[in-house]
Amino acid sequence: MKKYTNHISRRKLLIDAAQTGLAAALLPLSGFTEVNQQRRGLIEAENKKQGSTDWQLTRVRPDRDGQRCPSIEGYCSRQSVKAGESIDIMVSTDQNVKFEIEIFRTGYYGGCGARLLQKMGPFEGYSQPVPKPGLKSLHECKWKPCTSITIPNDWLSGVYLGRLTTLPGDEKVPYWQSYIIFIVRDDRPADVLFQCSDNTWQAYNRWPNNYSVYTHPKGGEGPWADVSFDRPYGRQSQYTGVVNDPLSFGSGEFLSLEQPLTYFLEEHGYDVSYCSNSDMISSERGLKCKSFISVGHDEYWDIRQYNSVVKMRDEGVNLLFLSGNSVCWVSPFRANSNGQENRIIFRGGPYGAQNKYAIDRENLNGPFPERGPDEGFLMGVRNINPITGGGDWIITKPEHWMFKDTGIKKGDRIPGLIGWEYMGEPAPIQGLEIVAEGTAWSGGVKPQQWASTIYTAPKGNIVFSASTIFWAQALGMPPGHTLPWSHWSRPHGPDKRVQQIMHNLLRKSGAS
Amino acid sequence: MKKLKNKISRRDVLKGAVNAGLVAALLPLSGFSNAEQQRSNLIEAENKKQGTTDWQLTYVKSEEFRSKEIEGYCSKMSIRAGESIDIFLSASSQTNASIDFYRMGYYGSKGGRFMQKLGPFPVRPQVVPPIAEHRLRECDWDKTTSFKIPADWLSGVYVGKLSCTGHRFESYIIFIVRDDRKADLMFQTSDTTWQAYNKWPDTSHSLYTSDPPLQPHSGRTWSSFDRPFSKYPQVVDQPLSQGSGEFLLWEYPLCYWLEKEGYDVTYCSNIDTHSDAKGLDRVKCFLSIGHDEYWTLPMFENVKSAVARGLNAAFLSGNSLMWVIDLKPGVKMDPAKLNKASGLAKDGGDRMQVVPDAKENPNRTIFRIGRFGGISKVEEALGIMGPFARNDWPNENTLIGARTMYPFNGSADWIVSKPEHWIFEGTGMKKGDKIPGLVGWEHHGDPADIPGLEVVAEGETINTTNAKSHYTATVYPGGKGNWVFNAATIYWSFGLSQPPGIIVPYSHFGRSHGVDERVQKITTNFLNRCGIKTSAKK
Repeated sequence: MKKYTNHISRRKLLIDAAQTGLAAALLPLSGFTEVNQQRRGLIEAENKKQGSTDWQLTRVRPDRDGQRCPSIEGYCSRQSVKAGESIDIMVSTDQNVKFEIEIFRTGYYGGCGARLLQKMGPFEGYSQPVPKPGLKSLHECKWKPCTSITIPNDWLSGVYLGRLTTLPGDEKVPYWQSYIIFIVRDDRPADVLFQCSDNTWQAYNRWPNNYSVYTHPKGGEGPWADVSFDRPYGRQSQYTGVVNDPLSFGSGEFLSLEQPLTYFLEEHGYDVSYCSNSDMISSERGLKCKSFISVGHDEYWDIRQYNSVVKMRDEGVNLLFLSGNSVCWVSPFRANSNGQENRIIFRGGPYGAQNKYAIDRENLNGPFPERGPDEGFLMGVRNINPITGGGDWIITKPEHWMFKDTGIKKGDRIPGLIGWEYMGEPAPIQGLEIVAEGTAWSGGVKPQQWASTIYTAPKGNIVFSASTIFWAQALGMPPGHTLPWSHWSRPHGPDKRVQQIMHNLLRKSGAS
Repeated sequence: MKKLKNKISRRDVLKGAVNAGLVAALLPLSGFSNAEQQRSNLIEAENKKQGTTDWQLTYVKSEEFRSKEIEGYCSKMSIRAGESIDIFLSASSQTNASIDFYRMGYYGSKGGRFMQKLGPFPVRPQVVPPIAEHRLRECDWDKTTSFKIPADWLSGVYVGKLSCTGHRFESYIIFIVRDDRKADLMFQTSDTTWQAYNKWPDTSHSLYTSDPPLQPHSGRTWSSFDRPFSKYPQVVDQPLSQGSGEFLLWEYPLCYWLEKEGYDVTYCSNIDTHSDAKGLDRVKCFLSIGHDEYWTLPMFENVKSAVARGLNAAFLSGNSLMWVIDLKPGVKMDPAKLNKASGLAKDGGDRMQVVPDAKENPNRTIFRIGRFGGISKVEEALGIMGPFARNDWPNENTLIGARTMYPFNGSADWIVSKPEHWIFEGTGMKKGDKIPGLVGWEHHGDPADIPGLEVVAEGETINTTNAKSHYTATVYPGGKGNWVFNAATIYWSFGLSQPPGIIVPYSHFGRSHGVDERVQKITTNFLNRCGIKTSAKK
């Protein structure tokens, strides 16, 4: 085990900061506007640094079941980490072979999409055991770490990829790759808090082959399976049905469903900070930010996450649900066998209080130990049955301020933007407005009504729900990005109208 | 009945040209540089027009690769402005259908320009043709409409997006508008290869299936252009390939990049290379693109002799010119004459006799007649190729510089072996530098013994069965100050651009990283060497 220490003196840090225009982050903040100016500079300055498209995987070899790549795979000891804290990296290679780890921060970087921060290794790779299924099918790896990184102070909050590459040492022997992924979080006041949907990545993770919360022999929608963060992320489990992207090996669903939003926000220099679902079990982090974003497929929330976000809303944080099928299931966190918190989740029960869909799910798959409140009173819209399908995002209220400068008229459509999951049945919240709605077709044939809503919370802050997993697909097209195709329907990628809607929403949420 | 009227008066042409500001293209050219200026402005001016990303399909339903809900085909693969093309559409049930035509290019990054809407027309289910002799499936559908290409439609690849009132599903038709102007570049679409892989109407009617005994590379199977293009059945799951062959898969990123840069490019089909030898003399450089596996002998001879006369050529492709095909007219089927074949239980057994119908419909049927360079001993031992009546076909590496070698597929980094070559000027590349994953899923190796030929990049490919092959990218002088470049990979275009909706393929456990400035620079260097510059640099 190699220990990477990144002791940086305060002096060195200040020099670096001055050089990169990051001094603002360290200095006492004197006034709000000025602060804003300085904060915005962080992402802007970071993205002026040299990027590279060479963060992508080139050679990935799945095993026969298609879900994992035993040639090289790994995981991290935590979902998120702060500068100055350490994270362990565990890697297994099925052959004894050297390997290296390249750490990239994802962002915009002049269109490249990521920046190389550190190359580590070579390390000696060896095979580490696939754990035997534990209680409730739990697969918790107890691999030996190959290294530990103490996050340097100048690693800005972001979603970080570690690209694992075998080094066979012979041009005629192919190298193999996959990712590890972690989030660097911070505590700075930020305009935008970008919450990765990593509970959902893990809920669907079938590593080593058939062990997600959807694959238990007793049924796909019950409380029976526990899943552990102490294992590699396999290939996106629905790759044959939603988005067939080899870049998902080891990176959860970030690259397919969330990266386009990162790319967009950082392209435009928005002051964004990142966190994991697990960082929301208290409201502390969120309360320092002007807005909170749920992105992509954000289906699984611990009840404490829910309570945090309610509190944030009530205290004035703007909420942007740029996601679909969000807050559908209660997924209680618990510690792993080493006592490390928030490393195991399961499907604890439906959100939806006494709504019919919640009761139906309880009757079909229960009993569940938990029942969450009606998510509609948080997001504006609810999970409905069926929840899958594809459709156009159709504008119903073009006069709303969120459509300013888009040129949108009533009935205008963003083709294929709804999918593959969404929300509907708006909650009876005073002042709630339906800004877009229409039909999605499950399996291409069965119609379902979805709705996109916005309401103003008591402190004047907004709560917007885009009601589609695909929203981010209209914002950015990072290098190598694969657009999804599911339920015989597909979005068209970046759309100026959706980008303008996003700017309008962010500005209304206090971002500049 | 498929009679086309191809007469247009000179007055029509002039009128159309004036409308479109293209009059320069028709007037006597007073001086070379002046003419060049005018030509390059065509692509530049075209791409300043309003683009849209709406050329993309949204709702694509593929069943056994086919879009039964709405599908169609055209009477010709390529056509000139002023000529008419027949369009045949079928839907799963009676509906009204419209066709939105888009020209594919750059258009301020939108990738396509809306040209015209046709319809709505009443469309009903049309008959899936019976399996004829040689497993041929040729549709004889009632014509939905006939469309005269407006005079101001610049040469290019055109898709027609089909949509209906009865349901949401969409698919494409596709054709190339060609012209006869002088231009710098000839962009040849690889449409005979699209058709060779087209399985329509189910999973077993490409050139890769045969009647028993099953032989994936036989000469016994025929494929017809008179049927819709199914979704491409391998390598990448791309709904946008529904009805558009393989253009949007491997060729479009090159089209997008050339038009973005403002290169003076004109377009043609494989079939034009076959039937219009003189057409090649109009351009400075011929481009083979993406997956360009199926050529007739006349195509080979036409390009080879044009190179001997001074044409430059770039094979930005892999697996090119592997198979020699024959192009036959469409056929007439005689339902009265059933050929009672035996052992064909899966498809019902009987085969309808076909009679080639030369008068009405030339160059609509393809089938293999051999392997360029002959089937090698190694290939013969595989037991999956031929047999063919002849094996003495010219070696494709005498034109390309290298050739398809067994194992035919795999993936690799594109590794520079001769960094001092002019093609790498300004790329900063050193020996051994790699462009990750750019080689795949098919390539060229075994460089030809041509005086002055240089291997500029080479390496080992590996496929899903761990079998290795060797690729070589080559450049050789044509002898008249002209050059021939072989990039040795189907994926070259992915290094040039990432148009809307494009999917970077992943096959044989490898994938490219998309746009790479070095690939752009190498391509530009080659074109510069051919005396071809973008309009901005002229």
